[in-house]
Amino acid sequence: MPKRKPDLKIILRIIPYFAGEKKLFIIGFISMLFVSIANIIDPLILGHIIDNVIPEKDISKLFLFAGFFVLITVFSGIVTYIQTIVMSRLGVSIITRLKKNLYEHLLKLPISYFDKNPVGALMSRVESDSENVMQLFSSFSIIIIGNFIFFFAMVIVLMFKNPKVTIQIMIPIPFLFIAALIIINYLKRFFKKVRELNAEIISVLTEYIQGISIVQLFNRETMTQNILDIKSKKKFIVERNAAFIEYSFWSLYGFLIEILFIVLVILLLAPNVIAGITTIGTLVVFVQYGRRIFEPLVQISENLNMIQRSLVSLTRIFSILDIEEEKASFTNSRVPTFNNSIVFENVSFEYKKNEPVLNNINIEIKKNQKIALVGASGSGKTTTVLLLCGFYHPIKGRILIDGIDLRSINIHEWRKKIGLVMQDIFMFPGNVLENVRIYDDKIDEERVISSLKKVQIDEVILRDNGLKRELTERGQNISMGERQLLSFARAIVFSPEMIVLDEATSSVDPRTERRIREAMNDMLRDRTSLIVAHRLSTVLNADKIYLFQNGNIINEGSHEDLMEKSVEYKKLVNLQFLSRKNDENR
Amino acid sequence: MMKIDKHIVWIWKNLWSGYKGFIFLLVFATILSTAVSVSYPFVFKMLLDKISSINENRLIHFQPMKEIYKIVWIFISIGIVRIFVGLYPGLRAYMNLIFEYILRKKYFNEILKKDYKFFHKFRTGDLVTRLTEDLSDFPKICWFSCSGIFRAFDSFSKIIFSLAMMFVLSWKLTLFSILPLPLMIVIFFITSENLYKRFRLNQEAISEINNQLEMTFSGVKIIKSFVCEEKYKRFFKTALDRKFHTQMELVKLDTRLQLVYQYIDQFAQIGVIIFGGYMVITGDISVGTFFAFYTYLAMLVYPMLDLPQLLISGKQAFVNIDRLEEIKDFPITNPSTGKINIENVDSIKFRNVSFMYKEKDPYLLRNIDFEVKRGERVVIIGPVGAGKSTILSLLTGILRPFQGKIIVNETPLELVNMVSFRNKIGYIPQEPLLFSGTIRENIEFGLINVSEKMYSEAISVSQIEKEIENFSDKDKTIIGQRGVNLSGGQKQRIAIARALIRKPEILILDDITASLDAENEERLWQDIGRIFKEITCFIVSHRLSTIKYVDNVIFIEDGRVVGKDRHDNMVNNFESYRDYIQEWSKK
Repeated sequence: MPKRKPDLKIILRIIPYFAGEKKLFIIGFISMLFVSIANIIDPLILGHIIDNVIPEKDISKLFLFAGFFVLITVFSGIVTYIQTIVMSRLGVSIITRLKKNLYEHLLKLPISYFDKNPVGALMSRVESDSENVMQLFSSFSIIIIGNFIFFFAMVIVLMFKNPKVTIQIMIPIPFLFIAALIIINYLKRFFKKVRELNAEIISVLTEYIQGISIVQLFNRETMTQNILDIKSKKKFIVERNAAFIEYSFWSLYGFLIEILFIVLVILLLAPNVIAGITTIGTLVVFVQYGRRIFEPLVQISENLNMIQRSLVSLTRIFSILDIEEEKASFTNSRVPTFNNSIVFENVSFEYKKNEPVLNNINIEIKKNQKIALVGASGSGKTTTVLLLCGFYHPIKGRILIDGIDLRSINIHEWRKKIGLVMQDIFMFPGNVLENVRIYDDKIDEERVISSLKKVQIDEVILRDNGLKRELTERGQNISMGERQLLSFARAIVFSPEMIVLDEATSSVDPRTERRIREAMNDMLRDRTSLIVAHRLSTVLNADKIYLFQNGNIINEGSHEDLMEKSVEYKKLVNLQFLSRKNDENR
Repeated sequence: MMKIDKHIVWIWKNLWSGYKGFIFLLVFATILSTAVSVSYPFVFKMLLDKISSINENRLIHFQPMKEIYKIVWIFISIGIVRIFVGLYPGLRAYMNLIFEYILRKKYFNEILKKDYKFFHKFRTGDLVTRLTEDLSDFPKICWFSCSGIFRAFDSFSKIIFSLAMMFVLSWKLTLFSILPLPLMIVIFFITSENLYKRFRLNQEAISEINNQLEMTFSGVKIIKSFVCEEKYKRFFKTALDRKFHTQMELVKLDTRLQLVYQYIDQFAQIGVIIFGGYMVITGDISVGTFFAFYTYLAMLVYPMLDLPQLLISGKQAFVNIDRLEEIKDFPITNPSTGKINIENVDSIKFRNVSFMYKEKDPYLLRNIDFEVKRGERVVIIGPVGAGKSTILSLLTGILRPFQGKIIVNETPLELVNMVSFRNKIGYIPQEPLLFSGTIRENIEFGLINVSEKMYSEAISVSQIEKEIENFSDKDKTIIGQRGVNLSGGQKQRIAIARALIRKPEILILDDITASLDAENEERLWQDIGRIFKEITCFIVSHRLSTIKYVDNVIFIEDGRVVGKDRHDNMVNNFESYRDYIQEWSKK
């Protein structure tokens, strides 16, 4: 299987990133050239000293050559410095751009992608995988390319000195090179596995740290440790095995390269030196160069692990960049209007094949109407809402906004028209202000405060530092009810045309709920709303109610209609009203 | 200097003290490896001197090549030793991996013990970074603790051995050439504080990036639905720019140091050429010795550059060690030290309990006083923010009262063994948190010896049985992180099953009204009454109908208990309660 090809393809894809840094790259490359030249000259000077200056016993010439040495040293130092800084900068800047592109692309992906990929894994992609690619620049560029330049320069010099011996020395090189490539290739799969296991470890850590309260309350610390332990151990074993193979091979390889090679040089050249054909100086030069001829390979081996990781990481990054954006699943990007109605036309949907969640549902939401979706949990109400936001597309049927298929409109413009309050309330680490306006500075503080007032949570929420009060990562320092209200304020502050509430009001105490309802009535007066409700009390004023059961709409109508004609609806309502009846009798 | 000591002590205590044998092995291997490296130039010297001698005195050497072959054999034998010595870096790598495994286990353990204050301060992304990148990447803790230290030792021994050989060859030349070297050490110490600071800044920039990533991907639905992508891109760019800056600062300082060291070393070499060359010319030393000397000095280069480099990466590792220790050292407020085991829960009393989250905060709960007996079901009712969920957290020991006591069966909670107590509790949170795995795994949640009866009772009472049957993989259906593909209600009912399967004595339902509809709730209570008869229940609810299923109501207002009694009595005796209920029922 041509495993080399994908590597090349990947490397080719990174090349455009260099395009933006042409200047840096050229400077870096030129520095590398100069460094190599400087490294070539050292042994030559030494050889010359041994062959000429010392036999001639010419001390002034000694100082002269020492002077050359000084010059080259100073020069080499400066150029090495430039090379390192420039190549590092190049690397960091390319990686930064890669991370940025990756992050931005991820934000454009459909929600279904986030359903399948845990947060921890995505973090690993953007941060650790990118950092691994960085190694490609520090190791690969500087060391390997520099050494290859050096290698060719060396060969040229040696050919000048003694072509016959040079050619004889070069013969084993291709074989050694191929052997190295074979091992590198073999070890690839190990390193890939290690990366995967690392991502799994990150996932486990993320998940169980987020869920630590459950772990502690259920006394499941030991079990959690074991779960992590299993993954940690797996990674250890794979890495250990890879290390064993790697070091055994390179140890043997090092023997071949250094010892046998030097022996070869001695056996080939010594007779010549004795015979007077070659000088001792030449022998010295051959030995000095010889030890470094294999430096590219040695450097590759030492950085092998990192290079493999880099390539694997790069592949994973590009595979994400190749995923289609959410926008691509939309056929057009017409600007949506909402002046008349939203229609769900024979819509069916499933998350997983053959497990339908919605079956041929039909809903009409006229502008300024209040529509309620009721039914048992799991009957498809939340999914309906998510479809309306364009997070998923119906498998069958369509959703029409003013007669236009949702799939063909500009989804960002559509979402701006909707104020969504979901069941799973996400609080951002930040203060109250930013949590309400989600960092949109176009919305000023007064508007935020007025929204908070409308949902009547201002006194509770604004104690302490007021708007600047820090909320914790999962909103743990405010109560669930307060969180609900805050997410509600969030929906209102953007002044959307339509409000979609998913079971949001049911987790609030009746007194506060009443206050919200009052505010809601204000807000909904000139707005359309779609409310997913568990509690019928909020739905009594709806213009139309759709009753869901197992992904189907089994009844629809106003509350009074449904009480008359629907047995299931009546059952649902009675459960709520039973206690009220008892109360009224007191 | 003191800072270095602390971290080296840490490395010894936490890592090496359990692997003393390996230390000897590695030391031996290092010395052997050095001996091998150091012998080359010497053998070369032998070769060159031999060749020079052959050239000058052909008559003595009848079989010159034979003598050369002898030297070749010496090379080969050294080479064979080298093959074994070549495994030595492999041993270092092995130890690195072991350390990574040990440290991750240990510090995750520490995290598992912490309380809410800790998680308030440290974000998930940051903690995950500390247990992964901080550990395993080069040149962080694990690399440094073995490879780092032993490469330093390796370099050090190479330097010593080389110097020794040089001294043997010519003490005069040695002195001339090593003069500039101590400068390197001085320079290093001058810059080390600065280095440490830059490492720390860089590490913080990395953590910040991880925090941003975690926040973005966890809240992606909100970001998309409110069309905030642009803002988040801006934030991320800021974080990236910061890291770019901190990383380049590091590189610059590092490279400058390298340059200085390189210069110092090269000038030493020039010294060798001048003085050495001179000494060969005057016949003080042989050509072979000159070459060997030159090679030894060159051999000093790498270790001399390596040593400070390793000290630099040591600084980096020290920063990471500090970050780990920060986790461990973070205090657990009121750690549970109780030893009394709870067998059955007969009563729970709150006596004058007051609570606030932070020292200077206003009180959240004041003088909470009530008693609940075995088998009793109470619902805690009150306005938003009144402190209802806090009472539940105090009951489970997640929070500790600031004043007052919670008493279980006449024993104060501080003296109770929390593990035994929590084993008796079935807790169902507001937000059902599930984990990656199958439905069954989530319900069992690590419980061993689960009988089919326990399992089927749990899923039947929690009203999730039918739906599990309807999934194509049934209870082996895998649910994603945070149980994504299930509806809120389904997740909640799985959480209920998870609590019930443990046959708890106390059932705590922290407001499940959001995700359990009225019909399911009615069936739930009927079945609990049937199968879990003696269970004591603490419920926070916002659904009026819940009152039907409980014995008593606790009404909380402004952080105080207004009263605890049956619903009818409460309505009769407490005007505020009556008002509250009336508002509720005016729907």
